[in-house]
Amino acid sequence: MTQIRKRFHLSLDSIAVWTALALAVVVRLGLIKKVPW
Amino acid sequence: MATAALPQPRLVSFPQRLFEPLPGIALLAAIGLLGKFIEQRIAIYGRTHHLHLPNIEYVLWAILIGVVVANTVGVPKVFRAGIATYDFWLKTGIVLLGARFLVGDLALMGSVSLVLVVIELALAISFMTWLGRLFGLNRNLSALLAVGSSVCGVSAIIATQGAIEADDEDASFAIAAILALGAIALFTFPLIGHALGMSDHAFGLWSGLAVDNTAEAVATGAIYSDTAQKFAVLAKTTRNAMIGFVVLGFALRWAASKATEFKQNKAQFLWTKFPKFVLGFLLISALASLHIFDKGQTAALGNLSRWAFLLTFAGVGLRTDIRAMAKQGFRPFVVGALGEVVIATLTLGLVLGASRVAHF
Repeated sequence: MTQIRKRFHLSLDSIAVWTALALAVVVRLGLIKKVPW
Repeated sequence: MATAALPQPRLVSFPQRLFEPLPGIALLAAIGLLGKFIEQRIAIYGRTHHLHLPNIEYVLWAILIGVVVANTVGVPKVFRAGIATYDFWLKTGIVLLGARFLVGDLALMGSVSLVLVVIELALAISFMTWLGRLFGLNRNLSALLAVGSSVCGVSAIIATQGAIEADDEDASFAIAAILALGAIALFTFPLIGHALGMSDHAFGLWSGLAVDNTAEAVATGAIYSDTAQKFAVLAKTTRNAMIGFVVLGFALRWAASKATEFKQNKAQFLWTKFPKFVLGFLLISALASLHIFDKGQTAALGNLSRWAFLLTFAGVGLRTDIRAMAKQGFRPFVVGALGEVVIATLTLGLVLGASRVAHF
């Protein structure tokens, strides 16, 4: 994770936010319809 | 020309580094799933044998399994990079959890949290600083313990260490004390909450206010109930958002004591220290409030957040090194423990008082 952050000059917070937003877009587009728990 | 035998840096390609965390992430998932399996098996056993067994959430099992693995067989090197990702899963889980908060709820409960957080910060910083002085701890260690117990644990300690130029040793003392006390809170807070018959809202707020490290605060709420976890996240993110102000305060005081000038732009300093994942949490909450997601999609995002937290909780157990904590000095631990007990009692009183006024 540290290596990826350094490579792309990203903070851990921004990677987490972008990952969550990407997942939200995927769910909104209906690419993931149901997530079991 | 003589050449010294310097250790050569390990040459690993970027794709290899991308795959490096996978074994550790798989271990986090395996431990989390094992925790879920144990919780379900106990519930099934109780039902089939008509026994009223207490529902112990998977969170506690996952943390316990992690602690046992880390402190008995140990964690082989191949898993370490993946285990270190637990903080990433925590923040991703918090941002996704924003989908389960409407902006109206956030404004109402957030303002209650904010008032409680400001009172908690003032009480905790003053009390820990006084206690540190009473026990003869050096000024920097007292400051680090005060910041760690008032704001947000490890990240606040690291941010303040840089600002007041404290030693690594002081920072590791303070971090070890905060982590050890967080681990104790995981097991004691839910028992106290149940004994006092606290509502999910009140317990969640208390966990978010009194447990110092974010992962432990969220886990403590989750052990109590799903709703308590939501409110623990709310109170803890409000506390996290204050980190910049507290660190700036300590940095200014340190500069004044050294008769030097604080050279940085204060607004920029606050922005640098502000935890950006809080903005992601607010953004997802705003999108949910605008009904961008339907009911099924909100449930899906909520469950994705639960999976992210499952990996986090396994990581909390795996990085709890009891031997390393025991090696740290006794006095910082006593100061931390005394301070935490007083802060936990004061915040419990605050939350119970606020719950009567705001009816939650």
